[in-house]
Order: sequence, then structure tokens, then C-alpha cells
Amino acid sequence: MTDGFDKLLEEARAELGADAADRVDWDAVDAKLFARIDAERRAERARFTPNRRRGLTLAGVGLAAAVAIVALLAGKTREPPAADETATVESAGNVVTIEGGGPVLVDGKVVAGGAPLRLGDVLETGGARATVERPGKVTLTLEPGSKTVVTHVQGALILALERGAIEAQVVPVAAGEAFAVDVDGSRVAVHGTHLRVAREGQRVVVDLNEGVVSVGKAPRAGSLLGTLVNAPAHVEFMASDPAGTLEQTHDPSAVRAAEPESPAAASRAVALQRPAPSAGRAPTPQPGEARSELRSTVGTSTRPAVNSPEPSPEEAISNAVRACMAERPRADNVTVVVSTTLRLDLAEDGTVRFARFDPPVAPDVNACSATAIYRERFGRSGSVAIPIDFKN
Amino acid sequence: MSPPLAAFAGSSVRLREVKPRMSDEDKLIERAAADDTAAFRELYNRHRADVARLVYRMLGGRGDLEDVIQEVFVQVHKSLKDFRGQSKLSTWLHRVTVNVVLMHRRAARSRPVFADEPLGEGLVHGVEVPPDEDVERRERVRAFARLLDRLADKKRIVFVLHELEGISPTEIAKIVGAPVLTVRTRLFYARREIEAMLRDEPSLAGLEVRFSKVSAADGDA
Repeated sequence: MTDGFDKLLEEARAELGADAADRVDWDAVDAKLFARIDAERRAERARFTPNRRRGLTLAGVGLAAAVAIVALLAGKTREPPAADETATVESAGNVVTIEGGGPVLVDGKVVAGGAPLRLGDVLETGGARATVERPGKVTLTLEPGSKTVVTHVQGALILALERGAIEAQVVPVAAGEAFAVDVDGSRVAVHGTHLRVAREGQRVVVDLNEGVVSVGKAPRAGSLLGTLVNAPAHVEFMASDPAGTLEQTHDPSAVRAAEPESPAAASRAVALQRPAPSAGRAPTPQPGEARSELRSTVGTSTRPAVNSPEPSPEEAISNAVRACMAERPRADNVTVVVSTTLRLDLAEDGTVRFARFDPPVAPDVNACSATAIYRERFGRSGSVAIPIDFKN
Repeated sequence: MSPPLAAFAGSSVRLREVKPRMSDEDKLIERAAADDTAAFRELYNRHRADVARLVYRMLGGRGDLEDVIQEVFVQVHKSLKDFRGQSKLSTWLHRVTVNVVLMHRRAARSRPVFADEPLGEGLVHGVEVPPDEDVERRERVRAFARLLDRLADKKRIVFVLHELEGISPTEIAKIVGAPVLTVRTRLFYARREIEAMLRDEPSLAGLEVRFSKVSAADGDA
């Protein structure tokens, strides 16, 4: 065998992967690679520059003057990325509404509603409130006099709060964190909830209206394993030592009530999530409607019509996967909420070549779903993404 | 050979430290570590094909090649400032590549892949050979890739680095951060496992016979 084995090795050496470089779309790799490097460089810059700017403010320069200086400095340093790079840098969301007086600045430049927010951007409100939306994931409001830096956008959105307060409504995710707020070295990580994080110097105040958050020292990478806090809760801690100084009360009267959303913000959010009405009647947005819409996307939005005699492959798969999720054992007092996307690669004949949940789901759900997924045949090839939301 | 010190007795000699001359690549590394994008791009252009080949071989020809290559160079960019030049850049690059591939494979294992992705499809870059032999050879290399994929990560990595990339066990030890003896042991077992698997692989079971035929034909010619 050895002689044959050596010859096989010789063949493999000459041919296995010999054309790997030719099979790579280098233009695409180049664009993504250098866009990522650029984005990380911007985030790194953003992490360090705010402290210097805060020093100027503390030195007694008035807020208006400070804003002007920031604008001047940022205006000099910020270069718009090339068009192809912009497309590949993951967005943090968009500023959807601005209410109240005073400018809202992104990297020191005054912006209007609709302005994109990207990794490394510094968002600052003077007298205004700015609502930022990451469709289907997070809707957050930066309160007047606040300043925050976007430090992470892939997967979870993470903001570093320099001053002021952030209030957010977060759509639950199946695994990991959906949203987090860093205050210096501490982190409030959110899996799906309604909360407000405010900074008072080194003191951090969290009002939790719904769900669960994790509080602790911000890890260099990955998810936070901190102290779990359940709603309703009013939490206070020092940013320098969240574990040692954390105080919490679950008395509902101590928890700051959620700010009602403005009709403008609500209508905007509704427009983003609802299909346009077929008749000419526009729905009248009510305060808080966006929030309830946001919650209602979990578990109901993709529910297929049960009376349909022949569901589409997407519906059949979605049904099967959710049935698998429903079969999982759970305690009576636990509500399971899962939001994931099933990505399928289809062969020429419409059969499923491979499938992947993003984010991943439990292994037993994978195994349970596999049969149904591979049984289906689509009327086309290519790729398919099936959003699956589940709640029981 | 330098002259003996005695030769300088009585003469006035000024000694100065002579720094070793920096190679072109060392200069590029220094500039790239100082966040010079042009220098980093040049390093990337020089090494990307080698990285692509190694990633391809270690992934067994599965998808995600471009994502992994991109991740390798993101890590290189992040870590270049920590590169002290104690090893060759190529050794260091191999280490980064191996680590990224391992991370990628671990992540891939944790997410569901229900079907066998096409393994080894189009792995073979053919040269002009008679069609039958070409087909047979392609199938052999494809089957070999499947066997490689069945090896445990640690064994597959040393096997690919040594047998396919031609890197010495001493250098592999630096890449994988293990003693040379451990590398040799992994190589031994990797080879033994592959030889055992060859017998069970339908397209390779008669390997020796087929190669013998080819050799005989070569001899006739």
C-alpha cells in the first residue's frame, strides 16, 4: 500500500487545492476585508477619542462650544468611505426621528431623520431626543444631552454610553445578546426586553420594564456572563465595579415608567413593520403602538394559515420547525421565545442541498427539523431565507 | 572569516553596532504594523494565494473559503503589531491560518449542517492528460480529500502541513504550539489512519493495483 499511498500523496500535493486562489473572488474578498479593517479602525478611534473630548468639556468649556469643537475635529478626521466599502460595512441602524430643539450630531456633523448610523459613529444629542431603529431588532431613544459611540454592530448592537441615557425596546434573540450598553468597563447586556440605561457620572442606573438583562464587566469578546436581573427592576451600580456595587429593587414603584413614544416615531415604526394598507386608509398611530407591534412580531408574524390545503415549501418547513420547537420540554412558568432564520441552499432541481439556522437553534430542534427540511422541493434553485419566530 | 582581534593590536579601531539589514518584507511588516494600509495590502497580495491554498486543503474543499481567508487577514491585521519577527512571517501566517480554520470548524460544528456539503468538488486542477486517466485521478484526489476530512483536527493539520505543504516537523511544532515529538507522533498516527481508511474507500481500495498498472504502462512507454 505504501507505494500507492506515496503516489497518491504526490498527486494530492500537485492538485489538491492547487487552483484554490483561482476559485476565490478576490475583488469581493478585498472589498469586505478592507471595509472591515476600516470599520474596526474607526471603532478603535471612536473608543479612545471621546475621553479626550470629555476632558475638554470638563475643563469648563460650555456645551455649545464643546459641540462646535467636536464638530470641527470630527469634520477634519472623518472621511467618507468609498461606495463599495459603505455597502459592506454593517449598519447599526438609522436615526428615524428627531424631536425637540437642538441638533443631533453623528461624528460631529448635524444630521436629519433618516441618517445612517455605522460602526464607530459618535451619536450626540443636544436638546433633542433621537430615535434610532435597527429594523426588526432594536428601537432605541437617545435622550436629550446624551452621547454614545457605536462600538459593535455584527450580531449584537453595542453602544458605549458617554453621558445621558438610552431607552431601548429589543426584539428577543434565540441565542447571545441582541443589544448592550457599555458604560466605561461595565456592560448591561440585553436578550430581549424594554429598558432604560442612564449614566450619572460613574453611576449607572438601569430601569427594566420587561425581560431580563445581564450586568457585569464588559468582556473583550463574546457574551457577558454577569448578574442576571429580572423585570421589573431598578438597578444602580458603579461602572468601575458593577459586581461589587450592584443594588437592585424589584418594587414596581421604583422602576421608571417607559417613555411613551411620540406619534411620529410610532408611525415610523409601524410603517417599517406592517405591510402597506390595501385601501387608502392610513392607520392612526397611537403612542406605544410601535412597541406593541415590535413585541407582536415574535411568535405570530410568520404563523402560516393552518387551513391552507397545500402550504408552500417555506410554510411547510416553518410549520415543521416550530412544531419541533414546541415539542421541547419546558417548565410551566417559562416562556420560550425563539427568533431565527433558516437559510437554505437549493440545488438545480429545487431540493435542499444544505440548511443552516442563523442564529443556531438547539441540537434536538436541528435533528427534528432535518427530515421535514430535506423532504421539501422548491420550484427554483438558489438560496432561500425563511424567518422563523416562535413563542410558547 | 573575520580577522583575529590580535591583528588590531596597537591600532586605533572604532567599533560600532551594525544592525542587520532589513529585508523588503521586514520593512513592509514594520509599515503595516504601523497601520500603513498600502504596506498591508502589499503583504496581503503576496501571501493570499498561499493562505487560500492552505485554507482550502484544511477545509477539505468545503464552502466558506472566502470568509475564512478574509478572517485570516483581519486577524493578521489585528495582530501584526505583536509580530516580533522571532519566527518567519510564513510560519506566523500559517499559525494564524490554522487557528482561524480551527475556530471556523468548531463554529461550523455547532451549527446545523443537515446535508453533506459537496466535499472535494472541483478540488482538482487538471493538466492535459488522457480523459480516462484524468477522471480516475480526479476521483482519487477527491476521495483522498474525504479521508483527510475524517481525521481529527490535530492530526489533519499536521498531516496537511507536512505531507501537502512540505513544512518540517520542527516548523510545524512552532505553528501548532506543540513539541516536535508530539508533531511526529500525530503525523505517524495520521498516516496510519489514512492508510487504514484507504482500504475502505471504494475508489481507493485498489489503489496499489491501479498505480502498478500505470507504472507498468509508463515502463512500456
